[in-house]
Amino acid sequence: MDTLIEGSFHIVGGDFSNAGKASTELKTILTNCGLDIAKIRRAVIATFEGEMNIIIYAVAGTITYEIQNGKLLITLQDIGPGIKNIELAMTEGYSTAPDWVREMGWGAGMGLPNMKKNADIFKINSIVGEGTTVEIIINLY
Amino acid sequence: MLLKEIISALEAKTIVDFTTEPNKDYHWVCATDLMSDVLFYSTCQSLLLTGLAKTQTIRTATVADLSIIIFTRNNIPDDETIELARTKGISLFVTPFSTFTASGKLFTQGLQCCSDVNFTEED
Repeated sequence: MDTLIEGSFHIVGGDFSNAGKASTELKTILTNCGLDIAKIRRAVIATFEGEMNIIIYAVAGTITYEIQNGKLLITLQDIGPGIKNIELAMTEGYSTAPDWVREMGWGAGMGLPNMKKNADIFKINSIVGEGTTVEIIINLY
Repeated sequence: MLLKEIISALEAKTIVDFTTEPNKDYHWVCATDLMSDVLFYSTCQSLLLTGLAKTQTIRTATVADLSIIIFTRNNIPDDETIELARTKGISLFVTPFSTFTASGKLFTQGLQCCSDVNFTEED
């Protein structure tokens, strides 16, 4: 099956004023595609967590999405500090976010675990000093 | 608990109201200032009780399919936040009570914390 939809968003690190904008736009796109509401919710929650990680930790990043062969693939790739210990970062409640980020309602250490929770397939790859790439796949059928 | 009963119990004022089901019963509340918690624990049947009156609150609610936000301790959002809520069809209310007190009032009326309930995807 050919790709039904695809697109991307560019995210700027530190841009809290637009936090969540890409994810809410993705929700509109997926809703207009007529996808199942529960699957859309899982997809955009995972995307929002990733979007926030880029804004909080990275210099910049991109979010790409595509629907192909009954699967929704979302890839979040950033240029940033990378993650030293992915296993630790996947622990619920573990966070390296500074206090000012927590005061804005983020950085509770639930981002990566929540992305995994909402994905059917979750992959993460990170190189310290270069950046992090997360792939999320949600089965649509 | 009906929304109008919740609004009355919290002595809340309406900022914008898009509710179309005045007799809809609410059972679950997500009471937090941590948007990460909203994304992790909330269900689409919850109402959000928070002191964080910012645009990211509206975007979090949008992503989590939450259609009602009650801001605590008279934290009235700025015009940009209210306008964003309008475009997303999210109803906003504000209560003079703190998140703690507002939660207590709703808890005593039988509402429960959304994270205490296990929902299936179909719920």
